[in-house]
Amino acid sequence: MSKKLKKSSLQMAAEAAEAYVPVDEDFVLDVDQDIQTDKNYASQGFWKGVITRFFKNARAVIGLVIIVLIIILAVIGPHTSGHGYAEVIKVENASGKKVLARSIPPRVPGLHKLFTGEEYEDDFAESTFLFGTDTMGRDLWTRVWYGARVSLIIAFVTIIIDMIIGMSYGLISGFFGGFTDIGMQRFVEVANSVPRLVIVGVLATFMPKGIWLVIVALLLTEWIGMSKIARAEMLKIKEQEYIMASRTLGANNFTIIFRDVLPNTIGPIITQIMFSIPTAIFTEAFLSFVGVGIVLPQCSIGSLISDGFTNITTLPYQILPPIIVLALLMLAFNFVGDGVREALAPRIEDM
Amino acid sequence: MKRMKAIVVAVLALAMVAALCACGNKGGDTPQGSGAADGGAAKGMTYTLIYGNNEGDEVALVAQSLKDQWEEAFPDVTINLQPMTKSERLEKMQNDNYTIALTRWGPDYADPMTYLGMWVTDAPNNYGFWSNPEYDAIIKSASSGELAGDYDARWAALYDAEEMVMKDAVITPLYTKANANLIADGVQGVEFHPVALNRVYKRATCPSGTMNVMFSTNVMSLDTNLATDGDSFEVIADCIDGLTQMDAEGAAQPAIAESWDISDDQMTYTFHLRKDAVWNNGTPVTAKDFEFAWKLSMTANVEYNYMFDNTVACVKNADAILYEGADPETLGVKALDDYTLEVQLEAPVSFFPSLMYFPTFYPINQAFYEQVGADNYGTSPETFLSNGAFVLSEYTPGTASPKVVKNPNYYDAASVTLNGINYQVVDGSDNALTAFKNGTLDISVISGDQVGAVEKDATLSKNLNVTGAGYMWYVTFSQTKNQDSNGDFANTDLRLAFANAIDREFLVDNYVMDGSLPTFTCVPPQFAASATTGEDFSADQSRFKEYCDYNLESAQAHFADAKAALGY
Amino acid sequence: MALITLLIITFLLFLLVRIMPGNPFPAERMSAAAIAKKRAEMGLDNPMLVQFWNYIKNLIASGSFGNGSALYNGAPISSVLPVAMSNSFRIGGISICFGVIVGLILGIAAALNRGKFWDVFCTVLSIVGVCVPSYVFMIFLQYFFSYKIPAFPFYFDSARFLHSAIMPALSLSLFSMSTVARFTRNEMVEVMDSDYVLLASSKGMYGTKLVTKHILRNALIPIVTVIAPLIVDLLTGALVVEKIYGINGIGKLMVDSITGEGVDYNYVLALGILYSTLYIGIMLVLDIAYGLLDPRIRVAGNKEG
Repeated sequence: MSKKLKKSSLQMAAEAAEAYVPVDEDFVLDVDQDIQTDKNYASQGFWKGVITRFFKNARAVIGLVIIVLIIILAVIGPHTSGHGYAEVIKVENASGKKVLARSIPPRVPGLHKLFTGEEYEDDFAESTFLFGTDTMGRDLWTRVWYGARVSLIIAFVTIIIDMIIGMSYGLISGFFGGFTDIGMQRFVEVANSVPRLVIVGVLATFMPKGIWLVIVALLLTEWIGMSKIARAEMLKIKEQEYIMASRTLGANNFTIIFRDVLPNTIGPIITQIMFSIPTAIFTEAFLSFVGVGIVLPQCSIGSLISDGFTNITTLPYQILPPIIVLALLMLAFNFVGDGVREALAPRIEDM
Repeated sequence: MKRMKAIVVAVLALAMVAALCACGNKGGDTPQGSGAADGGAAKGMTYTLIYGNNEGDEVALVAQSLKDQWEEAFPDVTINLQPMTKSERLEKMQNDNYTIALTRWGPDYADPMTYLGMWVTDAPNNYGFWSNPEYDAIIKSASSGELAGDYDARWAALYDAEEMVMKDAVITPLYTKANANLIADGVQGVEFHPVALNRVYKRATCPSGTMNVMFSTNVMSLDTNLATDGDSFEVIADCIDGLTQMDAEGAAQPAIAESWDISDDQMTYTFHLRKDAVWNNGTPVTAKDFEFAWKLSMTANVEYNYMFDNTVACVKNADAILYEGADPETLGVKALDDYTLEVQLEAPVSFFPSLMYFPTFYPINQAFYEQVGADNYGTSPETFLSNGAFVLSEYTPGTASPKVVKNPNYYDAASVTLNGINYQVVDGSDNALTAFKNGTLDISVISGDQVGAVEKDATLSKNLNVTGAGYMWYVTFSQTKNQDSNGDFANTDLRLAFANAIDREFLVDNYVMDGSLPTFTCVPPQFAASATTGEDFSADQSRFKEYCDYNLESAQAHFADAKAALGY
Repeated sequence: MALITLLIITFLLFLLVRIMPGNPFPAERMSAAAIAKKRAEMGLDNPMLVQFWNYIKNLIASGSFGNGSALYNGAPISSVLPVAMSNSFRIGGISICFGVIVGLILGIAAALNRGKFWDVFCTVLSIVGVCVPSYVFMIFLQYFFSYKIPAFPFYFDSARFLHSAIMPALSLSLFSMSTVARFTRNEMVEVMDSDYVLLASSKGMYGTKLVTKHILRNALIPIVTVIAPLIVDLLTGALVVEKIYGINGIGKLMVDSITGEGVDYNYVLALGILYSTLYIGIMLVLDIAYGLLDPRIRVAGNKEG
């Protein structure tokens, strides 16, 4: 506003003291640069803003791209090598002996020839194993992506169900407060204190080992974090005026909890989900490591890591792909989690 | 705005569900790992193979390979794998709640009976619940009946008994485990034994004086009555001498007993004890210590007191005490004076002197045992007495690194050159190899791919030394109908079909890899020698090959018979 | 209240452990009759409530967790647990101190130098720390600093405790370090943007005093929440690292008592009680720490109570 304006035609007219007929020029903003004005935006929905902000965050987008890529590979990867995840690759060689393709380091015959000018000299000279083969003689490329698929299924199923259980539990506990809250929180303490190995062991008496056992075991332990977040949010929100307004209008507890409060806790919950998925994958890896995870010949990222671990310095190529996939997944979900959190609670400087 | 929110939530949820379904459709179709054999598999011939997931790295590979081989040989069959801890596996087998199990057995003493005794009706290890009165009669006669005295006839009868087991495919032997040891340069004189004690160090030398040795499990107990595992036995045998000891070939040599007399009917042994043997608290080792230890074992309700009964040592009245509640004082062992021990047997036992180096028969000093209390005995160097070549210097239950040092008061201390042994529990073969290369271990045991890597390495391969580990891995089938099994394996043809479909050489070459021996007899080779000829009981592995050799034609024929008989 | 919770936890564990598969007396050579006799000796034939009453009575009267059944062939738990506890607590303690201190410093440095080298370094470290499992890091350390460069013992040696505790403590601290660093940074950034810090700085407050008195104090509250469960986890042992490095600790004991020779009821119970006591105790301490750090909670708490 401090800019000095040119003498306007109006002023000139006043000086001339005669009736002034406006000319077109009068209606043109005659400044040599933009004057500072408030910009008016079309009103933007909260979620639209969140999404815009999310996609402006380079790390979050990278994370999302990695996740999408891994999901795509997990879906199509196992079908691209021509070997099944449980298929033990063996051939009968010229002398009639059964030869197993076990512990073959990654090989692409074409590339090998291109760079070294040599060809492989064993019974699998023509075969391509992008990640090599494992000690059983199976293609690791197939198994890694199959394992990623299993791990992701486990993670998504547990997190979705945990979200439902944990959120309801936390919201109810926080909403009613008092003795209900104390009782429910003591129950959380109890549930949290039972070692995971005991839970898995007890479950194993009721159901066969495998994916579903891992999922149920994770269900029983992972909801606690979710419930804590939901409870904290509920404690924050339930004092707000609109809840009181809703109550005055005759809404019952159920409506208040699930219609009025729930939608407003969705932000922290989504953030928590993003951080819980890697935890679930990690926990599954731990269970596989202790030997109560996925049942062979099926595999998960965790079981592949624990298999590869037995030969970590002798055959390091066996553990690298699953560890890298795990690390990428963790990284990506952390990025996305951070991105979602920042998008939901933007700081002034970011806007 | 509210509608926008709802839409976004719905879209997010939908996206997740969609991603899941995309994966689920293709991934979740085989929840129990039916693997390769799809299509016509589901005619009900689905069996579960249980195996231990804490019993060595190669076990899971072997189990998967069995599944693979069986499913390949019989397209109608689906095998599900169920891994579990060893203790869970044993519980399932003992309660007859399984179909097929991958299990193992190590010899407790140098006689085929340690295996053949397992398949007697109602024996605790008869997991197939197989029963054959004729077989029971042979075993009974051979262990404590009229065959017991005639060593050659007994040997021949045991072959007959073995054939009954093999012919019925009660079990299917897979391989006899070997240990691929890496031994550091300059380490000499360590004796490796497949029976009872794994390694003996009395005559070993090591350049540094103190040897670092790998263990694969924790030492579970140093109480000779309670110990059950090889690693515990090894430490016990370092520290305590029994009546006899093993020489490099595994034959019984004098230890605490300088000599022994055997009566003409071979049913009374009189051991003459040496007078210079002392416990490391200064008290002499006497015949009373043996009598106390043996009688203690009778009352303690412990796993290994079966070694006294009529299936093994046949010590007089042991059966009556253990199974009929007779007075433990009536046990046929008596200290005639401080240095003479008389043992009476119910029947001649050809391998009795060699039994005496098994820890269950070791002495315990009564005064000391009662002073520290039964609960605490053997839980620390202070609560443990030694009369052998080494003294316990560092140990708490659960420690990963027990240590023993040379015993200056040992009667034969002059011939012991080692200053001590440091044990180290090592988790995994890969770690064992690195620790050996690092010089942390002088003796380490490797398996699987590490053996392959060492064999390719010009310098390391010189340190490789394969020795028999004694125990045999085998497959057993539940022949009864139970919660988990529909009783199909009561059909002998089915068992024979499964036995004939396993390529044991392939299994050992590709998955076990540590020099283990493919085995075709239900008594493994290399541990039981004849009392008269010295010949290994199972040296001839071709004896029962028709029942368990890898022969797909025969397997298919048996399978077709079984299928018809079972109505599939 | 805490005691009642503990009692309930104990009872639950008591029931669960008896449902678990696996034999408390792993005896391949024992006849069914001998096993039955052994069960009777251990009192496992009594009704569950009687067993539980006896257990609690024994626990309170003599303060002992009883004897094992499968693990270490019935050695008294009192001869096993203290050693394991001391190993795990000391290594866990070192790794917590190291992780929290380094994490705090890194987080503060990152927040104060937003967008510069320390910030990037802290971000990279926290990502690596969260993504790489501690046992993988342990293997790397073992491979490079015991094998390639033999600076540290290859296996844990209680005679040279500090020397051999460094590698496992370091590998365990990585996770807590990166979590703390990341949280500290985020919280500090949030606090630094808040109005009261703006006010404080506009009143002329700057430098160390501003950071410690206003920023850090407020940023610490959520950080304490993150640290508490980490402490319990680290103190109760990291079983894979303990297994690899041959440490006789609580984590390994837990796995051994469940997946070892048999399922040892008394060991699982003792360890479970230990774990929940620690957990509940640390949560109590956490509540107190909240009050010290945040006067508002103290006031609000008094009002409610």
